[in-house]
Amino acid sequence: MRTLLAAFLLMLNVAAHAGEASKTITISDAWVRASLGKVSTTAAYVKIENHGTKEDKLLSVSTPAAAMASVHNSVTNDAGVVQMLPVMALSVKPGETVALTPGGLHIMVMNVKEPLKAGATVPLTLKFEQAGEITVEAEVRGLDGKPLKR
Amino acid sequence: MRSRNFVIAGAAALILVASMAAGIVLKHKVIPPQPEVAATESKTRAQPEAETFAGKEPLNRPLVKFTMKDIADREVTEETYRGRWTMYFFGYANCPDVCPLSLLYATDLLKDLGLLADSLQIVFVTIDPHRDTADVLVDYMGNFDPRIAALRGTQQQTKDITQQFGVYYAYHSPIGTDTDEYAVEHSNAFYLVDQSGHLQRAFALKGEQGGAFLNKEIRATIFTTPK
Ligand SMILES: [Cu+2]
Repeated sequence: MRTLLAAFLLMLNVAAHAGEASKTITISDAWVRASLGKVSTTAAYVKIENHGTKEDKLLSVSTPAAAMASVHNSVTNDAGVVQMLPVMALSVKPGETVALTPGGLHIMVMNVKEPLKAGATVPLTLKFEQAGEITVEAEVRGLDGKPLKR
Repeated sequence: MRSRNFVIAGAAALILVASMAAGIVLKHKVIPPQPEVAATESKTRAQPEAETFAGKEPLNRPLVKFTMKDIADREVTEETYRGRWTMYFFGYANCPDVCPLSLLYATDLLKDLGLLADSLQIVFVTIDPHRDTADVLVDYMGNFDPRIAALRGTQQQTKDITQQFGVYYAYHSPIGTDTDEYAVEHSNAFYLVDQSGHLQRAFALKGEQGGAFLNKEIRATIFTTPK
């Protein structure tokens, strides 16, 4: 009985450490803008923190809620023209926090399968070069991006 | 290629508009070649985006003609909003990041202006009439302050109105598999037209300043301009 318990505790311990090891990258404040009327394109935003000692790169994003998701940067030049530039690999340096926020870096979410309503959550899977795939639940929020829960 | 043609057409239209404007002001006087127009032209050729008026204030350009429709299917021309300041901006409903933000700022601005908002008409013009049908726009605009007008026109009318303002836009080839998924790069500026229909200001929001910057500029232009 005692050995069984010890083995069980050991298992727990191993599991906890495995969890920690994969947490060099953490994702927080994930949200998606509610889709506007019949429009099937929207954007998602996340905060990415690198707690590790090596640079990591966000390579791709996917969500079951839409046909396609990809990282873009909205860039406005001196003449006031805005362009969305695809970001193939978004670098997150050790100790760095990269925040995707409206009007700049964003995850473009194209062809949502159903309208996204504020208050719902959708899974977002972010694939990193080092940390692998991380799935988070992104809250669907209104235009101002204010959190609805908590 | 398509965008270069557009730029050349845009430059030609600008020169036409500018010389028409000069003609109205100068009446029978002989018009010497305008260095400012020449500068605009060469700049435009080197860099398509330079065709916008942003950064060249005050503009004081008369508006020529435009005809569009609002989302209630009423005809709107440059005469419609005479007598009030009008803030125009251009975008498209499928714009995932920047356009909803501009519309949110416009919504916040009207709320913040309170009663002063009566002196300002805000107008959103779609540069993507193919996808932004009246139906789509009605739904889309329902997310913002109902006082914001939304205009759409035919492809030609859209081209015409953007040329009046010096707005640049270009369609990108389809991204993804669905051919109806494309991005539109466009002038992300706000254009202020005074009560007499003159384009007075054009400015883009810079970085993080966002809605506060817009609010400040609008208040400074409309409510504290010495007359
Ligand atoms: Cu985008």
